[in-house]
Amino acid sequence: MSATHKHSRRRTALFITLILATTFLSTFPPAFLWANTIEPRWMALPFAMVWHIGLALIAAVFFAVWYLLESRSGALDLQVDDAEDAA
Amino acid sequence: MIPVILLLAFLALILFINRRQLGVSTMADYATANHSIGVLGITFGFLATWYVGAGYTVFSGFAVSFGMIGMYVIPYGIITLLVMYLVAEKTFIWGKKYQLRTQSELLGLRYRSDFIRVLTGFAGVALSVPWLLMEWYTIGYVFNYATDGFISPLLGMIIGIFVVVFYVALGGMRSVVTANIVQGLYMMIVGSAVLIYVLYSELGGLSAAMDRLFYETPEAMIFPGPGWDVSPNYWTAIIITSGLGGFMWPWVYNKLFAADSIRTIKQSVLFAPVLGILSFALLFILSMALHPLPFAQENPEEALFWAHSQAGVWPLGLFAVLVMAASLGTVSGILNAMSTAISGDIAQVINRKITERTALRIARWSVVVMSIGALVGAYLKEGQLVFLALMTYQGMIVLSPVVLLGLYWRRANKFGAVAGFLLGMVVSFGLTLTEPEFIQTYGWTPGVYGFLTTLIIMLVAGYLRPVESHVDNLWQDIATARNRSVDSNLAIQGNNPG
Repeated sequence: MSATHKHSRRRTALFITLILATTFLSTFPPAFLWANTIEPRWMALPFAMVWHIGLALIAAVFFAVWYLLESRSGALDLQVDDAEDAA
Repeated sequence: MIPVILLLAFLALILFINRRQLGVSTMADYATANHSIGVLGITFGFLATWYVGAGYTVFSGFAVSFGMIGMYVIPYGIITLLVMYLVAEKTFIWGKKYQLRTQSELLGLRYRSDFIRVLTGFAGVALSVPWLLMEWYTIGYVFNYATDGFISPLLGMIIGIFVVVFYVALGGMRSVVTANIVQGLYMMIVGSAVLIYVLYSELGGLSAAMDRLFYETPEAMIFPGPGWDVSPNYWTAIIITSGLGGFMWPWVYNKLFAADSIRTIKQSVLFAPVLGILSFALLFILSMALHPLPFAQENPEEALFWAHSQAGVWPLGLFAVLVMAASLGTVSGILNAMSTAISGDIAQVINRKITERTALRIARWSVVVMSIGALVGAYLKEGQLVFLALMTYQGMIVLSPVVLLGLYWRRANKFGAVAGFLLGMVVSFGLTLTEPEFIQTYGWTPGVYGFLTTLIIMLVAGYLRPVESHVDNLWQDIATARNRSVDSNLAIQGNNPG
């Protein structure tokens, strides 16, 4: 496996971990129950709701950074022959 | 009168913008638009298909009744988008190279098994039926409510069917996506604006609505909501079940085959969460804010329609179009995916002599027959549709190990996929139908047990048998595409040393 592919795999693992971490914090009982409170409220919204929206926005940022890094490395410009060309 | 004019004008607009897309002549074009759809089409195609019309009736009713629990849609959406991001590369590469049209065809290729192709194709069609029925019913309900009973639900459904069948049967994926763009833009811009307007005009704005909730029923602001005692595991389970199952629907997954590049798919994942979070959050905030109102508590599924009708005929009409747009987006995607599966994954596998022309004809007639069947079903079985539709997620999550392990684990094999899928379905639906006490006690939904069954069987089968020989070739396709990309980038950097 080339160094480029190893780097790509490490990057994929990192971003999967980061995005799943946001999901873990909003989904699994220890973190989710900790955040399942009304106070402190923000813009009148309960903290529980702010927690979920905030984590989702953080996940969206992780997606954006992941995309930008993949884009810069050329991983999104794969050339694929279709079946007719390959034949 | 204004609501019905707005509804009919929206349907006319959908037909008008599709007037140039109706001459599809090949099955590949019908099923995948010849891999030509850009980022706007994939983003809104995904959102318009994923957002169901029932989200504004049944699911918002859930938030009206129980408050914050409705927000489970947001973390579940993130899991679904992660799945989309992860499956994009291999689905696109194999899809383009082998001219794949459906998720089942992809699985048939990966596991080299016609049985898996037919099995998952059939399961996809069968599990989609309740959603089709529910969305038909929603279209009829929209017409009936918006016209104050002037148009019956049956007539409303017939009007909706006429429009959708026309553009799906004649235009295929290209028409579906074109309509999805209009539907998605309407949902995000006009739909969000009308929800905000009602929040301010009827409930005094965000702060006033939340303060009222805080002083009258604060328990609606946290999980599990008023009058409901359920294990916290239930929250976890519905997010995992929906998140992993959410992208397994053939009508959502098949959109990947229509994309013109991997970049397009991944760009759409960037736009979808932000748009989804904003509009879902808005919908559920408004639904929660209606909780203290007696009418809303007594009629939770009707609450949003009622609130908009209180705001006047224009808000009601614009909201009715919003629900109609969401329903049409889902229905058109389902019809396109189901007809492609019936033609490509079932008919063409059973009889390989079927020509492309005949396959296209089968797909088109499938749209007509399914729509009429769904009309009858929706009319007769209205009361059970929500239960059936929610139950189908317990089946879709079982498909996720078959897809994800198939794409990411070389050792995943045909035996494990077939045995795992079938036994996972038996466990999931067996527990759903028998409802043993531990399901309530521990809070985990039946789909989670079915998912674990499939996962364990596939892992065990993967280690018991050697890697299948054809898998190396498939992995080589991916490596070749990546290497070409690296070489091409190095060449570009070499030409631009500065």
